Amino acid sequence: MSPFFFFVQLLNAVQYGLILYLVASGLTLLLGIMSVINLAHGAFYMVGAYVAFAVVENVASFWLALPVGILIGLALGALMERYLLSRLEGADHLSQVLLSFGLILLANEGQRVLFGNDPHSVATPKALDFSIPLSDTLAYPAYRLFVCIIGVGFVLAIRYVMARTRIGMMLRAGAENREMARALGVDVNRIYLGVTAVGIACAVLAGVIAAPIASVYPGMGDQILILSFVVVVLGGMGSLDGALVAALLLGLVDAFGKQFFPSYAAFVVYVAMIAVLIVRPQGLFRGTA
Amino acid sequence: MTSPDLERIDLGLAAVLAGVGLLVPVVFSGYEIKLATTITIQAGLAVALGFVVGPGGLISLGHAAFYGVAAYLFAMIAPQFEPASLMWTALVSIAGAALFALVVGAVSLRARGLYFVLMTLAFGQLAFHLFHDTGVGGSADGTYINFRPELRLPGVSIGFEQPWRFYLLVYVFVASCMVLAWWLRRSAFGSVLTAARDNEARVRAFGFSPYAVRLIAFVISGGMAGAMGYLTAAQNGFVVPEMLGWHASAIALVMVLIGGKDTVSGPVVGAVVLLIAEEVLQRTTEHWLIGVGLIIVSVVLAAPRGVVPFAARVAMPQWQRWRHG
Repeated sequence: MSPFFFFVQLLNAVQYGLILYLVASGLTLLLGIMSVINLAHGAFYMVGAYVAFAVVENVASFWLALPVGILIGLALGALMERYLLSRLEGADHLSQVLLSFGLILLANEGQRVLFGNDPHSVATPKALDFSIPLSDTLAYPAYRLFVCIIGVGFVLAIRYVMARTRIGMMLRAGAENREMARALGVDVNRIYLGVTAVGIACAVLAGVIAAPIASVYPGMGDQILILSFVVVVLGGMGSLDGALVAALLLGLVDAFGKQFFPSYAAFVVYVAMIAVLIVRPQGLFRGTA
Repeated sequence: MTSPDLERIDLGLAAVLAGVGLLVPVVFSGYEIKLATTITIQAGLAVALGFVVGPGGLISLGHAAFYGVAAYLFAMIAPQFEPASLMWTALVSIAGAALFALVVGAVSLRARGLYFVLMTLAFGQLAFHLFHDTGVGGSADGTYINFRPELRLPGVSIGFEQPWRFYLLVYVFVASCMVLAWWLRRSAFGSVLTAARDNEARVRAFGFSPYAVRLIAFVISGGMAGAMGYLTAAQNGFVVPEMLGWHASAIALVMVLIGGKDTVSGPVVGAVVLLIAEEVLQRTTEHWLIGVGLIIVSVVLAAPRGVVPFAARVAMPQWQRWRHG
């Protein structure tokens, strides 16, 4: 294996891992802060991909799809918290599992009604539709680098918000001890609304930026959902840094696994997850369960 | 409403369902019997899952794996050119599923709450990818089973090619599972299991191991789920990896919840309601899954404890008023 080929796979791993992180970060915040298990998170990723498809088809501008996707994600997230999740507050996880599974069916079938069963592709935006040559034979698509840059920007932004701002402080307090945070005057309901809206907007955004790389197809949210759960569990529920490391690890397994052991790549992921849970039931990056 | 009331309604409903079930081969024929067979098998799967979800308080999102593993085991051991022996193949398939449940349970039950849910999900996906990706059991296309098994008794062997005969076989399996689930719920074992769900520390103080009790319940439930997978494989004549996927597990959970996890009849009611609704919706629209999604969301919001307790709460006062004038 040439060093350039290795480098290309490494970039692919990072790019895939960052998209995974974008989806998983919302999932882990919902789990860690609100103790909500949202199976529909992958469906929102699919929504993002189809938003990209619809916007590019109708307006021929990929860049417009980014703000549109984020706004739709914020709106869907706020609606979901306001009218569905908040009604289940205090209810068990079973209700959340089923509610979000119902939402998956609605989203998947709604997608078929609007866009049909055929897979679609989304054109790479013109400005980034070129490749950067690495060696005589290998080149790397500029758009994938752009995805990496967005991903890194997102990582830095979310770390800044969590560590340095008042909102981040309230989020951390809420995740640590919900009742105490409430008692100290944190408006938990507003926090929940914000977390759900932002978390789901992240999943939608991930779908938008992934659309030109992966094709857009029915039920595409399922695979990313399960992998995001693996990321969340490996990283430790509610741990954003843990999720980042786990997402990049899965990116590596995906990129190199598909090269060297294609039939077992998926298998290895779950074996790793089970192994980690046996040794550290609280995930890799959480002090205590 | 007190819980003895609910229990009485639950038992009454179970008896009614059992009676209606016996009428199926008398009243229906052909396609309807096949549909009733499918519904009954799924009801059995829901009963199996309901037993760990209700009294055990354990939300398993990987039960389809036990169901599917048993189906695949049957497909692998069934002879190619003659019918298999029902007794042996069922025994091996169910034992295999129970054994797999033992492994999954032994590991997953160390985790609690959401981690348990995700652990079972991971095991389910592991099994799914084993059959989907690696070439075991025919990869994504699955495997065919050429004959339905037959029951070999001394001097006579009974085949199940006719729909009504196969239906009755399924009926016996599922009714046995219901009786077993009901009996276990009422037994001392069931009391400890429920107690472990409600107050683990106290159960431990009494000298029981919540882990062991849950593991036993999980294995029994996995075995029952396996029996249903075996029957599905025998009915359809083929097995596919989707039988093990998490969508199948989630649908089984939906049935349990729609009916009511704290009752024995609930999972059966859930399966009947959901699958009949599916059948009706499928005949009306191509996009029937929207209907299913709406049903699920409305039940979760309106009757989170399931329709059986919900109906009982609505119906009971009426009934009392009527009886006491």
